[in-house]
Amino acid sequence: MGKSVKFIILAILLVTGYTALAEEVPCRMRIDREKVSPGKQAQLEIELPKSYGVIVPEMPIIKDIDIRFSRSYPKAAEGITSDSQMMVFQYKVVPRTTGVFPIGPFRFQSGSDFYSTNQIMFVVEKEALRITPQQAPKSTDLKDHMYVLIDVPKTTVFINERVPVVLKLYTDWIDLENVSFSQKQSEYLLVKEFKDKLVEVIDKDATRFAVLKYTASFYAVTAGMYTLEPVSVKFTIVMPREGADGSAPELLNQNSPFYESLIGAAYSRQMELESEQVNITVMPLPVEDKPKSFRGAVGKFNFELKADKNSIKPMETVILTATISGEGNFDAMSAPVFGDPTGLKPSEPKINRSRDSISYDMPLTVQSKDIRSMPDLLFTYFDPSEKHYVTITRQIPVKLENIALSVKALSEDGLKANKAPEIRILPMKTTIDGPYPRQDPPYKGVSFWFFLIIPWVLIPSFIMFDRRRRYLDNHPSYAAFLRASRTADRSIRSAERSLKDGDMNGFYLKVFKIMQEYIGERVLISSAGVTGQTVDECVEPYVGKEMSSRIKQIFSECYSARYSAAGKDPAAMSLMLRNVGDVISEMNNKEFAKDNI
Amino acid sequence: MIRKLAILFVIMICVSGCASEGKDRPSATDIFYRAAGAYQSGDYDKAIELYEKLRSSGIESGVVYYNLGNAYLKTNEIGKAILSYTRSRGYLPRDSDLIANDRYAHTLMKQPDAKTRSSPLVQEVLRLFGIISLKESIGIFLVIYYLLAALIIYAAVRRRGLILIIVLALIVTASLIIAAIPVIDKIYSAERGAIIVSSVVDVKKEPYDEAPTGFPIYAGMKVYVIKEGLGWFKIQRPDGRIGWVPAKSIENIRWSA
Repeated sequence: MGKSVKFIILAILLVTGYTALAEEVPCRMRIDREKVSPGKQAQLEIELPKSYGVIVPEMPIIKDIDIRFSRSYPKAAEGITSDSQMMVFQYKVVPRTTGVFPIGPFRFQSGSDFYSTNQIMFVVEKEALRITPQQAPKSTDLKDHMYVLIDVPKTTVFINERVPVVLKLYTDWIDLENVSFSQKQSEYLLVKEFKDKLVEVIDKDATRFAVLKYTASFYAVTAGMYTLEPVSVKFTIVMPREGADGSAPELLNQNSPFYESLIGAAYSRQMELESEQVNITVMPLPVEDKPKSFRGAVGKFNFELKADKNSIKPMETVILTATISGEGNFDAMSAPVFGDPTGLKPSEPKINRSRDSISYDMPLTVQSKDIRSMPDLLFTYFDPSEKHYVTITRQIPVKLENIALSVKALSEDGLKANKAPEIRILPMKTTIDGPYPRQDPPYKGVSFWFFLIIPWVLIPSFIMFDRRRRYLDNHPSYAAFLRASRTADRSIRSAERSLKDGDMNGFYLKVFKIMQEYIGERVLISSAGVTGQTVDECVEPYVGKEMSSRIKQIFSECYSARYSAAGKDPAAMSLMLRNVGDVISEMNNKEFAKDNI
Repeated sequence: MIRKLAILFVIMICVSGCASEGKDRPSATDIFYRAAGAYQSGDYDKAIELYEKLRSSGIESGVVYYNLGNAYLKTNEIGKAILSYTRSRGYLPRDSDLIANDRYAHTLMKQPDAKTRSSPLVQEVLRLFGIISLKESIGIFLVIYYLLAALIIYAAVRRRGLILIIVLALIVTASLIIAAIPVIDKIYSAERGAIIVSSVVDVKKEPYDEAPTGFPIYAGMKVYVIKEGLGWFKIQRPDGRIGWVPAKSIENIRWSA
């Protein structure tokens, strides 16, 4: 074999060995944004799983895209060992025109190794709509920038069926604070509060919106046509402050004149939006085939049953925990029911509620000695999607112990086993108390209220009487004045009787006494001491001369008649009596110095 | 003349009809003894029928209610038995047989009466006054009421020893308030009180069959009716829990003693 042949063989072997030793290493290529506008810059990175002996990969020329090496840096490799590193090469990518540009796969050599990259699609499209101040519309319609939609998946529902509701607040302004909701409450559609905010960014009509999603649910309590009232959303728009380096605040849609006009120099503003109302048709639950154990649960549920003990004796209590989970209305359901509660004494269950389940702690006491096995516990719900009732039956996981012994113990106490428990009560009464006809209760009778009111009449009467009595005690002249009038009235009536009876002497005597007593009381002297002189001195200064002379005339007539009363004209006597009445009446209106009224 | 005779004839027929009706109709005492006979022979249903007949004829008697309660208890109708005993206690508040049977009936309830929300003082006053009837409570209240009125009049007239009068007035006023508590409670019970007569009732959150159940309630439990309408009663338990029950499942107490 010649030298040349050996050389060729050696060369072939060397090339083959070198080729065999050289590796085809995959490496990852990625770009920081898949969509950019023409002229905007994106950043491309190639990660080589080798940290030394590598050279900068040379990128091939791609039409309408400028790719330039920017920098390289080592980076810890992911998922291998903690001390292995990779090298990252960064490139600036600037598209010149719109279009979809595939970048890669590339294959390049570095040292003895060959590297191959993946392919990425680079989308270049026109920039999202940006309104310059010159193009800005003069009217700033709120709906162009933020609005509220209510998403109700079903508008025809069954009673008690819980329907989720999503309230979507669309805004091209992401910094909203103090978001609150208010909604007119309906008596028949019960809406739970909106919560669980979820933020999503979407592009709509060439505008980028942040969608704030708030979930709630409602259910109807009666069948019919109802309206889900509009939801009013209140919130505060917050203007982001500039960065520390003076950079502009980050907005979804920068340079929007809407916000410039809306906010100006301020940093926040209150806003309010309202959703549309939704009409809901509520159907009644089917009556046919409705199990007796149905207690209002509507949805799709599972039912599990546990007990706090495995066995139980009569008169002991076990606490059963019935847990209902699934999807549906937990607010409109009740605890599962016992198949046959005879001999059992269930107590009121304690309810523990979580987000997607509800559990009932149900104390259950075995009371009857006759019970041989624990009954089933039934939970029935209505499935609105299948439109039928489903009953889940669970056996109570508790064994009954010592039944025989207990029965024996009870039978020793006077009760016979296998017989219904005897009601041991005191005997009936054989004599009737009455019978009484049915009456209104006492508080409905007039007498009750009469007795209640009487003190309110008595108390002020007594107080007024006492005050009057005290006043008269302290004012004797006023008392004398009152007494004089009353005595005079009484005496005039007595004189009238004497006149009718024809008792002439008695009449004049009484008239004389009337005047004497009246004047005596008024001037506070003894009536026996009243004379014509008394009238001149004590009465005339207060009543005048004319009245004084009339009084004296009466006295004079009476005095003379006492000795010759016979033959007097009854008409004249009647006239005199009237005159006496007039005189007293006029004197009652005169104020005497000592009266102190 | 013929017209007058016709009127006279009609009157005579009416009078004779009424007289014969009165003669045939058994008296309340007769029905009572017939019911007692039925009870003693073990025919409790017949006894109940006769006692209810007596009651529906407008006869009120503590003994009738007591015997009716016994008959209901014998037929295992706990709710109606407790209702009858409760009515009977309006007339026979201190009857030892009645108290014993009522207590026994309460032990048969599936769930004891809910605890009241009243203060311990009020509960103690009600316990003390539990052995007197509504009429007696009202009598005691009125006596203390008049005592207070007399004290006020005396204070207004006498005007001396004011401190003693004020102390007395405070004592009497406190007594009046204490005496008012059982009166108000008994009137409220008479007007609003009701007993569950069905063995178990689901208390609904709204007055319709499909409404969610708030809590179950068992025969014999005392509740207060706060609203009525369309075959449903809105009730309140003594512990304050509220809900709707079908009207047929409860019966008002409404005693008049």
